[in-house]
Amino acid sequence: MSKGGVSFPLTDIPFNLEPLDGADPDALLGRDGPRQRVINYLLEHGTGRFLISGYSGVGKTSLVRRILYELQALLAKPDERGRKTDLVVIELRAQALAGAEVISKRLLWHLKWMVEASELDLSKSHHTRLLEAYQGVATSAVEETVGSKRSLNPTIGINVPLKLELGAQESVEKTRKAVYLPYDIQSTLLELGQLISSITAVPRLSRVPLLRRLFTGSPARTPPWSWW
Amino acid sequence: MVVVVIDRIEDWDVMSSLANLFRAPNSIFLVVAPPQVQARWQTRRQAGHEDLPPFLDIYLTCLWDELPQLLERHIDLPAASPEALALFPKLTRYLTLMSTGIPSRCVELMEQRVEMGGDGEAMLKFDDKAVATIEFYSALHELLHLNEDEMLGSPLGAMAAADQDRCRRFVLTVARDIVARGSVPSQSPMSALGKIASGIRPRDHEAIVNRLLLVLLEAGLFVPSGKMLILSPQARQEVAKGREVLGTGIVPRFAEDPVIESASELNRTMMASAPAPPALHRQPIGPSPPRRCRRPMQP
Repeated sequence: MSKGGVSFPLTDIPFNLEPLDGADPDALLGRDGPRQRVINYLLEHGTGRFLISGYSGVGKTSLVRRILYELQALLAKPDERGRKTDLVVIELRAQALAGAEVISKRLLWHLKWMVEASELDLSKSHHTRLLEAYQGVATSAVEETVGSKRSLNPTIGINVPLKLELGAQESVEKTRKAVYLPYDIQSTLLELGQLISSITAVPRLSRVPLLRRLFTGSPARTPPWSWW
Repeated sequence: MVVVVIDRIEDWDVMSSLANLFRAPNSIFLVVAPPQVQARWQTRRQAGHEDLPPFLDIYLTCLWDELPQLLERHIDLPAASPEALALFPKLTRYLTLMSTGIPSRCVELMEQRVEMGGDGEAMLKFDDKAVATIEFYSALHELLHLNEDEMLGSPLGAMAAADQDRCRRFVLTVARDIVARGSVPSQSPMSALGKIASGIRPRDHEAIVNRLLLVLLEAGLFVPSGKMLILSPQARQEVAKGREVLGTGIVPRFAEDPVIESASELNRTMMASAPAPPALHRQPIGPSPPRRCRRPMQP
């Protein structure tokens, strides 16, 4: 052992403690098997549910990002008929969002935003279906709570802060009331599932700007509601 | 194609309450969760509960064998000195033990040792005390690795991947904890476990800890002292050359003036509390130096 200790020269690859963005094909170590398994399954079946588990810091989020990146590249290639498939990613961070109720509301926000986004290249029938599903899930609850004295849709009960329209003192009480309004989360989740299925059925989903925004995991504009 | 990613579901109850969402036909869900959620799901599924629609189980193992590659990405080995090259395998074993196979933890540990050299180049720098620590814990990792199957009571390869990781991480964490403590009660070693080790306890964890202590005893790292097992004088000297368990902030503590008692009696007590202890073929406990730990490292 030398008196001054031992030094190792470093390469110029920076230390990265955050999840990888998925762009570098070689950055993810030792995950070829799971990555290929998920991609092959999705390409073969076009659908699927995957529970990706592992200890904290083992690379779960990095793997997901790599999978999405590769999937995007594969789908962007035209098939034998010259058609391309769009990939839309809705990414939710459950830890920050806490329970299922908040997750469902966040998901609703993403879907609502997608429906509203002009970039969606929908056929008329699909657009109608989406709007119907969306109205069943969201519109009435949001508009009725904020805009009028009509009762809240008991099926949804989205907690819209009324302070948008009321004075500060009053808003606290009203918002609190809204929190305790009936919220049938299971019905909401079923409807959200149907909505996702409807969107999935759209042959050409989005244009690139929409994809980019969704790919970052956050909507293009910040929701006005404080509880997001 | 719409892909819904739900990252960091930390709780089984949250996961199961989203069942109606997951039942959406023709949809794609990528759900990211810790092992305890996966374990709970598997347990309930095997018990016949259908809380969730079918999911493909993608378990990401800890990186036990790929950590050298991770290090080689960051360390410019062709430009390294002979001393650094000689230390590299030990550094790998040391980081494997300290990170317990978690790559981000390994990177974090390395990052803490980055210094700027005189020529402005970044380097990983370990002073003499740090090198001594690396050498000691590298030898400890090698000892644990050699006796892995015996300590766990069954071949590691026969376990599911998640169980393998849990057992390996548990053994490494417990060994690190008790060496850093310098002592452990021989009758109730579980009481000395740290929070992390307690959180990843596998089945038969008490038997595993007892077998681990036997390995440490027979290697001469620990010796009996009253109702405690304490670091042997030789091991204390080795540990004392280092400063702390690098990156953990743990400074090893040592019991004063160990009183060596009958090792065979202590052995019998521990073996009695350990179900089906394996036959261990190592050096008997005694004042001889811990051979395994003194053995020169393989390059």
